Amino acid sequence: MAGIGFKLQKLFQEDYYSSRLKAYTFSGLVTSGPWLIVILVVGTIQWLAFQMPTLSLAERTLFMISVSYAFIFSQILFSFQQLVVTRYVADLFYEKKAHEIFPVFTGMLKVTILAAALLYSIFWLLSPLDFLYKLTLFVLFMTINVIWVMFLFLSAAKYYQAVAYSFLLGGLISVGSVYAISRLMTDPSSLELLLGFTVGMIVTLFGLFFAMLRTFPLRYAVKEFSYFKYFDRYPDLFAIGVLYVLGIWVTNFIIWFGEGRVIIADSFLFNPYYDTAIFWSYLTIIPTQLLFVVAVETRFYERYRTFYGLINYGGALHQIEKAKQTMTSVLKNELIRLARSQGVVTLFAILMAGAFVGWIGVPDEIGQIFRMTTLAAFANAMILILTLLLLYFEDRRGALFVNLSFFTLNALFTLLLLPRGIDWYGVGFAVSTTITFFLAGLRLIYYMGKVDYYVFAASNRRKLGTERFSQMGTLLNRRFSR
Amino acid sequence: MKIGLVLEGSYPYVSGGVSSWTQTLIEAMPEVSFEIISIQPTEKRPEDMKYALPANVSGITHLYLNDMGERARGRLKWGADDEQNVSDWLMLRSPNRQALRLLGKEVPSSEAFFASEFFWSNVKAAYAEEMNGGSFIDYFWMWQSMYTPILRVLHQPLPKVDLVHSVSTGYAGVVASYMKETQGIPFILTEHGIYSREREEEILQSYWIPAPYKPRWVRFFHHLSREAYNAADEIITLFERNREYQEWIGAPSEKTKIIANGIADRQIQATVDRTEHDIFQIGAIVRLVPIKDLKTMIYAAKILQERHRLFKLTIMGPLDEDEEYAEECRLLIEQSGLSDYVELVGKVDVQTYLPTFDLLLLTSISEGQPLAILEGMAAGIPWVATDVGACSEILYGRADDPFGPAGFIVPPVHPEAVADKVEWMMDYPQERMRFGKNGRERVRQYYRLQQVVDRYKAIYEARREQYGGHRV
Repeated sequence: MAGIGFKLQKLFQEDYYSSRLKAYTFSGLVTSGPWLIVILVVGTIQWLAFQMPTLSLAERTLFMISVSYAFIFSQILFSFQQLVVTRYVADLFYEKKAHEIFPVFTGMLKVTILAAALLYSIFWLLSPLDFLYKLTLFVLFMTINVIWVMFLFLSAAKYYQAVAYSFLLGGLISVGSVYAISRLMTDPSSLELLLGFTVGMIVTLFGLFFAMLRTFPLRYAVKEFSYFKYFDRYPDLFAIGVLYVLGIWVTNFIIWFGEGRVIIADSFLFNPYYDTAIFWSYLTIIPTQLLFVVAVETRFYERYRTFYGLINYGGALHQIEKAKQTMTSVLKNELIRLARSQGVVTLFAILMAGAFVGWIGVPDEIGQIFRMTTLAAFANAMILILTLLLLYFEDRRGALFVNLSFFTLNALFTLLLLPRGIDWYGVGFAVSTTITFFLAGLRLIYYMGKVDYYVFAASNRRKLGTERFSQMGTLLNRRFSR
Repeated sequence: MKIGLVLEGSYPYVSGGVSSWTQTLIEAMPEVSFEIISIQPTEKRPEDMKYALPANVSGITHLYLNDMGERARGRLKWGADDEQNVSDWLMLRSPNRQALRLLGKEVPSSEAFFASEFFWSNVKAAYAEEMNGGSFIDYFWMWQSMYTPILRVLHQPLPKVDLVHSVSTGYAGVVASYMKETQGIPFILTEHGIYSREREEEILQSYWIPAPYKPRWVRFFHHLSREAYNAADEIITLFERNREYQEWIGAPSEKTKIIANGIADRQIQATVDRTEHDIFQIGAIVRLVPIKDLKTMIYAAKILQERHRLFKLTIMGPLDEDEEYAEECRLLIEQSGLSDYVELVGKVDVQTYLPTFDLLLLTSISEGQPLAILEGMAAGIPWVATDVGACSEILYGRADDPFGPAGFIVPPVHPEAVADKVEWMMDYPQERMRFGKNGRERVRQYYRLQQVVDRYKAIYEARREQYGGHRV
């Protein structure tokens, strides 16, 4: 995080429109880049597939749902290690032990591959899909899992360009190969689409892998699993990561058993209404992901650094309190501005939902659900930002509480409203995320009021020297992303 | 009767004045059982002991000051009154035994205490009062390091006893006050040196405490002394000047009392007639360390030599405590051409040497109540000593003393004055003999070990009765 803040500020000092745009794009790529590129790629492939008259709706859906499953479940697997390893790697960087990072990578990779293979073997046994399709999906699933892991390490090393270019290149190759398939083959099926997409992802994988080799020139495999000790030290980070990702998907999982669900190829549960609405809704919060980096990180980060710097490097109490006030008011303003900008986008999306649904020709129910899930996505974006801020301030307890509420309420409200059928889809999600949003906001307000006390109290609880305050800035170079 | 004897950084692991006093007191009361409560900065093992524990020592309870790194558990559950009490204490406003009880019994862990909002708000309030914009984090850590040892000593198990006797204020005084408060037992305080003054000197001289924080550290140790003075039933010291210091720091005068050091009866010797002989024999019973200011003594010897006086100065005492200083003294003697006049004999049996001396010398720049002077007086030898600690009180006698002077008092660091008085002693042998006799009579009357033991025994008995007799 810290690194981005600095770089962006530099960019903004050159008051050129183009460099400003570059900064926005750049930050967008960093935060939600992979996610955005993948969506665009999948969307383009969908569109290409739509142009192939021989390809049935079922085949196209099978492709879509296979890719979605690969992403959803790899993200869930990733969430089990994401925050803990991020913290561990950030600490290694801080302690100037960069040479110890590569073993963590191989360690995490091994654990991830093993877990992914185990998970996939269940699918393999249960799914009646043909061998070649399952094999291709297996390759894709493993590829995405490995990509997540490398993404973490490259972000921690602040090698954002490599990440962005790898995804771009992979995306282009995905689209290109599918396009080639549509041109060369007379009767393409979902397998060919999946193959094309997988080829692109493998290219991304190799791009990231070369970036890894360049970033970490010292490579040896010793003490690969010593990062496990951070699960003891920060069990809350583990829980926060898992609860957030499960909290996002739990409503889908529940609604896969509700009215309107279908089973694709006897392998995948799917709810065309709800899942489609969710997909579109999450596109509406891209502005937040983009703005957060710029608005909060550049303007806020400066004050954040001043505050911790004054504490750490011998500031007087009145200076610390002044810095706290400034930081708090900047944070408040930035959050309000962010919520307002996103609010406008969300409101616009909700108002235009009817027209949009009519224009692209999907069932009206999707538009109904979309209005609710867009509201939920708005709250979700805010919850993500508040969680990140709580973690910047080392309020792991608060972040845990927020994400526990996020997961529990999402599951609870969706379950309670499930029997009411399709008309109520998304309502539970909207209500529960709104409640959690308010809880998270209250927690941040409460915590910020006493943030100076917590800095000192927490330092005491963990029995660390004063260097931990400097460490704050390097926390979490990596963020959650859907 | 079981007595808890609280000792800080001394008996039985460090030798010195307080430790030998302790050993003597315990040995002199074989019918009383003593539990040693030894406060030490770091862990001690049995082989570190410098003294053989007498049979009436029931055991040693160790209290360590170093941080054990407890995990933060629980929360403070204090009412407004409790917080007010502890606040008063932390802010060094006034002694408060209720605060000690709370800190000892009502704190789930020291980590939880230091992580509490209560502690935080106190640090902020004190910072606002005391600091003029210095580093807040350093101030915070100072507070924590100031109160960590207090919580440490209060959180370790303490023995049940009938009476607690602390041999200093400081942390020992805090422990004793706390034991009095929680066990409802009498608390006797004996101060040899004035603890808070000694800490004050150390703090002012130390280079590792940043200057802005020194005043608070000084006030802190005075605060600990006041706590002990406030809680103690008897406040005993060795001589009048120290008693005045105690009063000045805040000891109520009605509680203060002087019980001097004492000399065993066998050390009180008959006078040897030494009016007729050729060379004047001067003795000095002293460790070769800077605080004893041997150089003034050597300069005085030089003056006497220049005045063509014949004499022999024998300096008895270990040479290995500060080898650099001992070497400096040796060189000074040599370079002043005093090798025939002054001799460093090292550590010897003083009792066998004493009868050979006409006069004893002490030129220290700081003393408590020096046993050496009492030993010399017991042997009937006159003194020339500097005006430090109890020297004047011993040599000249207190206000109601019937015996007359036992020597001369001179200002510290004043070789000329020393030489003058030594010459006087050389020239007036009859008066010299009378001084020696005065001294021996005074020791016989006021400075006998048996008296010291009897008085402590009487205090123990009286207080035990007052607080309800045997309970342990």
